[in-house]
Amino acid sequence: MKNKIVLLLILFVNLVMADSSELTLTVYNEDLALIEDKRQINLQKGKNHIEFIDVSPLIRPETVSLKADGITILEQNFDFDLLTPEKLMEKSVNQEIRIVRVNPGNGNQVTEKAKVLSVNQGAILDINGQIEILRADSIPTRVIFDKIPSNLRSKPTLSIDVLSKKDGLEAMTLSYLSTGITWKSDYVALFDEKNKSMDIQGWLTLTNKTGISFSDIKLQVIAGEIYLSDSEDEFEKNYKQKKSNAVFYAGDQQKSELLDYYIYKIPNRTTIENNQSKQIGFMEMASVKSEKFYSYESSDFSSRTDSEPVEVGVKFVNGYTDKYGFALPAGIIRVYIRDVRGNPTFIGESSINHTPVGAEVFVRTGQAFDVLAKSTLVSEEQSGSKIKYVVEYEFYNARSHSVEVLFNQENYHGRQKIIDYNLPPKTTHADLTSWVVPIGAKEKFVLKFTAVVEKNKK
Amino acid sequence: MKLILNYILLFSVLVSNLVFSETVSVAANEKELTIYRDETYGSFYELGEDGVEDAGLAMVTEYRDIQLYQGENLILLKDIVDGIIPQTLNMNDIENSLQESNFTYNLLTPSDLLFHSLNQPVLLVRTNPKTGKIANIPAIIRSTSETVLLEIDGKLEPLGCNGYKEKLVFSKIPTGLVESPELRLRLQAKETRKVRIKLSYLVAGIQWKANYTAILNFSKKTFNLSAWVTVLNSRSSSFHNASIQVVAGRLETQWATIPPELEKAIANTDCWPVLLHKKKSYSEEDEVEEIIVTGIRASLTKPEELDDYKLYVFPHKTDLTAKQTKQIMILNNSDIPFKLEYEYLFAFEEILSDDESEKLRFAYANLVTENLEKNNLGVPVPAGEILFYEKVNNASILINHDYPGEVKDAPYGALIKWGLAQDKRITIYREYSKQEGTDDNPIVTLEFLIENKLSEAIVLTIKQYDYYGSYKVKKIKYANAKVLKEDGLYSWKVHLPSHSKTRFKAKIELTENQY
Repeated sequence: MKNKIVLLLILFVNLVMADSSELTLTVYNEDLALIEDKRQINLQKGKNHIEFIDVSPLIRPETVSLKADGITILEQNFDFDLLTPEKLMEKSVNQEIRIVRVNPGNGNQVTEKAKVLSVNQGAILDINGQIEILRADSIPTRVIFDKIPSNLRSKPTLSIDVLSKKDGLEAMTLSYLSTGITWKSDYVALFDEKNKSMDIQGWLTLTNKTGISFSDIKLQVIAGEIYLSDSEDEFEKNYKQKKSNAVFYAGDQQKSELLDYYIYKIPNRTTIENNQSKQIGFMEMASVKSEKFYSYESSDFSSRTDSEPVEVGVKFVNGYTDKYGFALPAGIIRVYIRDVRGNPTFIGESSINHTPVGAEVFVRTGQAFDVLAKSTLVSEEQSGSKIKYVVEYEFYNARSHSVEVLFNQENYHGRQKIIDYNLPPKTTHADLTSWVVPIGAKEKFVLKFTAVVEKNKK
Repeated sequence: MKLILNYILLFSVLVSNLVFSETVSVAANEKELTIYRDETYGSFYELGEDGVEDAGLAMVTEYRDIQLYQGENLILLKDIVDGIIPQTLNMNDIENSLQESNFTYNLLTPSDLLFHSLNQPVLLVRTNPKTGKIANIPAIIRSTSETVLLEIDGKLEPLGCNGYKEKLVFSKIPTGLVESPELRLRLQAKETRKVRIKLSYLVAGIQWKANYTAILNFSKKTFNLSAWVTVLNSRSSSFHNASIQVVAGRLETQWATIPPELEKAIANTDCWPVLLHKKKSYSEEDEVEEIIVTGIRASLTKPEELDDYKLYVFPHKTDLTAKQTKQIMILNNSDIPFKLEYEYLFAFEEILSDDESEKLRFAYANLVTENLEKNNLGVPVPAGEILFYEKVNNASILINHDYPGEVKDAPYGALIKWGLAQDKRITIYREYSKQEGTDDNPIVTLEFLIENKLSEAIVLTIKQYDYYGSYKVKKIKYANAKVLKEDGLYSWKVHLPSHSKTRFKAKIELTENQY
């Protein structure tokens, strides 16, 4: 029977300890996090001074909010006047301290009382009526202070004075914003060129450089731009206006919409230590239809002395309507392909912005070793406000199979009209014309066209 | 019933107190290294405090034998390559799924030992500087902001401000500090068994480049070309018996793909006034000695295709130790025909100068060939640096001794053009120059006397150099040579017969350059 009681007690104590403090972290993209700390605090009826010594050192004190039933907040303080020797000395001006001097000749120690007269780029003391600069003689001298001044802290400390109606345990929620915690997305994409498909995994990368660790927390991250304001009211307004919109599921993760933001909730509690980078898987898409692309851009009409490699990458559409459908938070996509031995090998990475469902994503991975482009301005004639350019672009493909290059001719100087071409453009706009240029294996293709540009009026 | 109740209670306690035990993987059983070029810099250079040791990118693939248990597993991986970029960790394993990884770099340093011992008891060991007498004094660390403050017998004293020889002795290492960065994985396993897991991650600080040696025979107008892949490991991690391959091509990378910054605050244990400063740890100031050994009679490594890049695989597993360079040969071709193309680059500011010493210039020679099999080449030529030698009476004389030439990626069939050196047999003397017009809109008349002392006719390209100079060309009023415009700059082709002198004349209207 005794054993059972002991075991029951152990279980009960664990349960109480488990409920003593509950942390929720909501992390934004912009090096900002909302920390909500729910805890039980023992209060006395009347005025109470509560110190929170384990808050983030990078707290934004003006965002602190304490909520509890049955209490009135009198005052909030954030003390960051830290305990240093210089501060100690400054607080001791006009007060007495003790100094212990060691005779360099015989090693004897002598203790004396001294009054601190001033501390400006050095301490000046009154020792038995004689005015001295502390340690000007470089003789070993210990300085001893009797106590720590009340408003100096060894660490930045948040304290709140409250008025409680009764004695006893009170549940409270302390919330505040802090910098020092960031999150971003990192994606791993394995591209299969032959089957035109890609497997994509998404990881949340959380980095904590606040100076403290957060143990056993509930975590959610928010994707989207937020308006940063020094006003707490602005933040509260943005945070509280929740829309109960559709929730999309991908694996175990949830996504819900909050205004123009997306929330990604991590289902299990987790711990993030100080100086730690944590990756948590949050999404997975298999066999996404994707294709390689080659592209080359020109923003003027001029000759180049040397050929340039064209850009290469992978493109895909985010989300199928019936299978996956959620926005991709901004981050970096790293693309891998299998080498001849079947090993996934990194071939390049690009940043993506917050990408809604249905958007086409272009991930540039690098420059093609074997596909080059070179421009030649054949002639340039001006007539009034119009200039006629005759241009050639020589594309060379050293690969063992044919390729297509998406070529964009932009013009920043005015509206352009393309005439006299040997390959019809794919799209034509006032300031951008695109071609899909086919080039056979180990062959060249010379694209020729004439552009008439009407210069922008100043 | 009582027995069942006992077991239920026992089970509940155990479950509520259960801490997942951690599996420790001491080292990788096998490692593979795929190394990419660093496009930022042309050559390996000094490691210093600017983060240069982070130049370059490599993909490390590790194979580790680990005992897994059905369900959730926590695995601590030791011996991770330093310079790891933790957000690039990838585990392709369909059997076991990686749920979370944690990279902790809360390092055990003297500063962190102090910072994390706040309000803890320590022993102050004080030595009298004259008598040498040692006193062991119990103390409590009360502050580590800027300088350490100790509480001794209820009083406060700064540490190290008194001229004594003092040190602190700690009884334990604070929790949470690690001797080296740690990587932990949370893995979900389908069954209990020993498996070999495969991980890959990117690291900074490992790179490669191609080094070329060309030995020119000017009479035959051919050259012999050998090329080496030189790998540099500037990290303090070594790779033993590793498979190594290098990727030739320009990858797109992002600035955020870098290792975490290990900034440390240094606790000052000196006297007042005090300063708090941060410096990066792991910065070293060793200079990498660029000893590029380009010998012969090495087996050749031919390139493979890797999507739109080229892959050179080291023929055998090998060791790549910390702070080491290593080479394999990738090219050794002979009798490649070449031509020389000459150019003279000038800046308008320069030619308007009256300084006599600036009037005489020499043409610059570029070596040109085509990357084709008929030219004894026809292979991918990856970017790197090249040294040119001239064969003279069985001796090789280095031509470009000031700095190596640049080689760009050149696929099969591409035109190759490499800067060689000044050729003093072709001189350009500025006989006349005159400026008219206004300062904003000058009109320049110039005359160059060009002499070709070669026994062959050549074409000299005179080219405007200063795309970002003060002036740009508004109009060519007159020139006695054919004018071209390439890369936005004007150039003229001047034909020079052998052993001849020719005058180049031009009148050019300039305008202020607003780029």
